Amino acid sequence: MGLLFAFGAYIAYMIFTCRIVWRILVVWERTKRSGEHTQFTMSPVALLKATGDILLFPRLFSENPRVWIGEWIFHVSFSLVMVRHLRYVVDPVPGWVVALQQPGMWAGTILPFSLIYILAVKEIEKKKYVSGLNSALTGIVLLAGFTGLLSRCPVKGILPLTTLARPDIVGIKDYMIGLFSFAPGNLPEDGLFSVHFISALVLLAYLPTHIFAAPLSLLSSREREDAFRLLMHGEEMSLSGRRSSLTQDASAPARKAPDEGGKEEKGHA
Amino acid sequence: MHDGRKIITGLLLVLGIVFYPFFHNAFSGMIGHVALKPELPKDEKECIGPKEKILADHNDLLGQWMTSAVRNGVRTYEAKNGRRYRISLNSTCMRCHRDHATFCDRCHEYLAVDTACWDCHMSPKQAGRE
Repeated sequence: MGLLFAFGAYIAYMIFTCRIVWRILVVWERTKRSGEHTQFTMSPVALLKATGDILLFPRLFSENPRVWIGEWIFHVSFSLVMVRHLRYVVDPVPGWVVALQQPGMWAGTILPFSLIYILAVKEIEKKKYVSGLNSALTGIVLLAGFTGLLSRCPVKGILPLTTLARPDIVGIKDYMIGLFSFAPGNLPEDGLFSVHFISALVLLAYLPTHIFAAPLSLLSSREREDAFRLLMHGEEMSLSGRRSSLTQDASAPARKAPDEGGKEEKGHA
Repeated sequence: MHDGRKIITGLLLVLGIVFYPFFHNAFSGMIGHVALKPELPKDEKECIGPKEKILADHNDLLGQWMTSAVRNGVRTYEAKNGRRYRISLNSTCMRCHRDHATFCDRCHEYLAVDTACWDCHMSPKQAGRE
């Protein structure tokens, strides 16, 4: 069982790595062909705004606050759950992981319910943009979330697959350290853990690579806003980002800018 | 493609995050490391319940014992095998598991479990009675 799961884990890691490397090569090729645009350095204000965009998703909030609350809670709890999972795979456990354990436990409880909420809102609002893959991935995260949550509950034999609701986490950590050292050992048999582990591997293998670009496109759009301001108001105004942001509403449609401005706008669309 | 370099940096960062456990264990010298097994008592073979049950649920059991003894004043626990035990961490559990450093802490430290037991209790070994 241990060897089979290790084989699965390495395959999932390989698929994930190949897909990321493939994407890097594609992007690299395209960048080489088109040539990089003029690099603008971001003003601290724009950087702050971009950080806010990445952490709080204000654009989604203005678009659909009902989906936003679910998505925001899901993303925050998913990150915390991932951080807490490090205690099962690394030794010694770093201090920052220990410090985030309590919020991680709360997040573990909230995560599956936030997903159910998102699915319910999307179902009620009949969103056409929800693709099959998106729904399948949500289902896999939900499965991983619920099996993880059940592993914390002191129930025995409630699910047909479980022998013990709480897996032997010491044995699992021994196995995981072996796995991440390319020397997988024995894995304690546990139905609940098996479902949890397999769903995590499927998620790793099928996670769309473009979702990692989301924070970067948020960063870029703020950078373009900055660049646009530079173009409209010249060197002097752009250097004091604060002044320009007070005097000019960046989101307001501006006059068609010549040359590069047109290019920038096209990139923004 | 305007942001090729940024996208590539981001993707490499993601790869770094996903591969973090490999690097961490390699750099901390923990390759192939397994947990130190807790030292079991030599003179006692039977615990108050089946080993698997105690391993999985000792946290809940100790919590129930605390409520039972401190809040309800009930100091007797009847095990599944019919044997009766005094509800006491120090005089029942630690009669056999005398040193928490070589029994409890090994797994707890391995998995970064923070227990509140030793805020109030002292194992016989730590109390210098051994």
